[in-house]
Amino acid sequence: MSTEILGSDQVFSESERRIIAAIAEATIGQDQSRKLPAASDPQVLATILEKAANFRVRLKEGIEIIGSEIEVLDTASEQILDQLERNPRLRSFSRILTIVIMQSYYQDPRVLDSLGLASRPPFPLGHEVPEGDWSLLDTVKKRAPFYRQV
Amino acid sequence: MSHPPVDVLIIGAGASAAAFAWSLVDTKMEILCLEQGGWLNPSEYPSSTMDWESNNAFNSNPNHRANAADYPINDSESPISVANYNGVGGGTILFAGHYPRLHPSDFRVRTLDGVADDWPLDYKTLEPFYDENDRMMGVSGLAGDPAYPPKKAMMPPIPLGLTGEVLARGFNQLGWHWWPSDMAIATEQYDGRDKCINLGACGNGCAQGAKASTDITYWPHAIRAGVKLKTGCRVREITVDESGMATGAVYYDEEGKEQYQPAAMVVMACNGIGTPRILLNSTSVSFPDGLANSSGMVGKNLMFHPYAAVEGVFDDAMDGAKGPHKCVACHEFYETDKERDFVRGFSFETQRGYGPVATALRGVFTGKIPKGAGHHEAYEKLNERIVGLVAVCEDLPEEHNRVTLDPELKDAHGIAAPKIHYTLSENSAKMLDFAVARGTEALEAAGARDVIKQRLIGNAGWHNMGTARMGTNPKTSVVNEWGRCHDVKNLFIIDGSIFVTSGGVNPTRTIQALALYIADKIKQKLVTATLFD
Repeated sequence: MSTEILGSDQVFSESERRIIAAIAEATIGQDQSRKLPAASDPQVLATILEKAANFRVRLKEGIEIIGSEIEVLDTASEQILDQLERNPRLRSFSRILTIVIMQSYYQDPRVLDSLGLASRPPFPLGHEVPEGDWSLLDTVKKRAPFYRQV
Repeated sequence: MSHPPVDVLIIGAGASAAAFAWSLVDTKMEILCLEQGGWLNPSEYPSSTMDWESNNAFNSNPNHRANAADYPINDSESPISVANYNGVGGGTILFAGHYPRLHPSDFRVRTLDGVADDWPLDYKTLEPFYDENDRMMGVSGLAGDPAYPPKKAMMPPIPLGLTGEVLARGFNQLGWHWWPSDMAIATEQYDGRDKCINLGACGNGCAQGAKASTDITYWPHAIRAGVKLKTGCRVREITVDESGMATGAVYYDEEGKEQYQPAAMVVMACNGIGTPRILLNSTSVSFPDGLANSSGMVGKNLMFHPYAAVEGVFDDAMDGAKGPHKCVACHEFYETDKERDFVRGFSFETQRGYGPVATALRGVFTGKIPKGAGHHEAYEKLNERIVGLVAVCEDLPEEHNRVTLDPELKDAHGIAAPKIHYTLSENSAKMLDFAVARGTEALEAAGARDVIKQRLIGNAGWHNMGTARMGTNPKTSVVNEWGRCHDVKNLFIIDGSIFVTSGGVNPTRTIQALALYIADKIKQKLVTATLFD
């Protein structure tokens, strides 16, 4: 499936998208040893942009603010994160974008596969849950009723 | 436009309305329910898609969800935000299915502890209606819990799983009570519903149909028996005549057109926020301060359950998001203990584990998972390794905790939105601190290597109670001991608004038992022609 988004449908401009991608990459980088993509991976980024569109006003404001503080695209990841962490004007922007990045990254089937988690929706297959050791309840069963008498 | 009159008009189609309508349909009266939301299609629940943890249409906060059926709630003056769902089934669409009863002592708080008020009815009175409701909803659990009077088990309990087992060991080491939770989740095929297959997504709708939301329990039975349910109808106000009797409701239909539905009897079932909102909005010459509000108590005494969360991080993998969120409960600290610096108590319920998104967000926002370098290593250490306990703390009624009408904020139809005014009481604050300390002990006894503490969960205002309280004194209560408004003899309230106190457990099972009790009382009064006396 193509992850390309039609220009006319895009909520964020090219430069806004590049800034979001840079922040996503700074937040979750690639880890080749674990076979984990970065959050700026095209498929993850497409999901991020889709979810981010719900918060377009506040995110665009935040992009403008961070753009006035640093050259995001020419700044090291640590400094981008530092700016997001320390600048009180970016608190809401940082929180929203963090939520969107985590939601998008941790629903990606490749990420879930690498983490040993089911890379499918819960329904219709569900999951196996062990019954557990019900003999643990034996001591509680011996306890006298202790609800308060009225 | 005015419609032909009905005998009974119910506003809202959630937990209480469904039970009430089903019970009252025996009378062969013409019953109509107006619901502002729509029917849910279980095949469209988020658990069928990869974004099951983050589908905003099923966000429990109506301000964030902002579906067409939702109305905004000004919660800027409350540390707890309201959680709800507007649609057929109401809050049961998103609830976890944790389904305890109140304890007998909850109905006698003034007598036992000298605080708040006693209820005008008791556990024994409500017991047969709890049983009847259990049959309709289908409850899994285990008989013999020493924290409660005897009650029957209907279906086997939810599996303990790895999480329940490790918590049970912790509780046992401390010598504390624990018991498999009563759950409104079918563990066997029940009443045409299939059994639970451990989707682990109970909180955003059960696609399997194992969780007993009322759209698939009571409503199909009630509708087959003749109850009519209209969706997409947002009620603006309840109207009254010169004699002060309710005459019907003004509402906006799906197209936004104003409609009028006359009725011989009106029943409010819009939860502890929605019901006072409509009553306060229903002003008239007879009721200038809002309908049924001569006591001034409509909207007052709002009780949430302040929730504390304590989460343990374990070395070994637990259940994660697999299985119903709740599996066992601990009622060791439910009753008042004079050795403590607060009255009343709380129950612990489990949080079995978290899905990948929730794990990441918890980790990042508690500083356990960094952004950037070290993110993946830290995530691995939390992946399926978080187990939670939440303390459901009893909240006592205080008049200053209340629902009012916001002077500016309005819904899409121009109806004033509710505003929440709520502060945490000193008693609740002390209880939360105590609960965090005990929860930490339990998790450490269970083997947690790290404990994450959250003294008050802000987005957990699921249980909205007390805003149209029951009582025998019309000066201090809104409805009498069987749900009829003191001021308006053909107006009934059947939702959590009528709770006198909150108890320290989830209220849905009691809300529904009360609705059945009130319906039964109405049927008795109909027989003796004393309903409106």
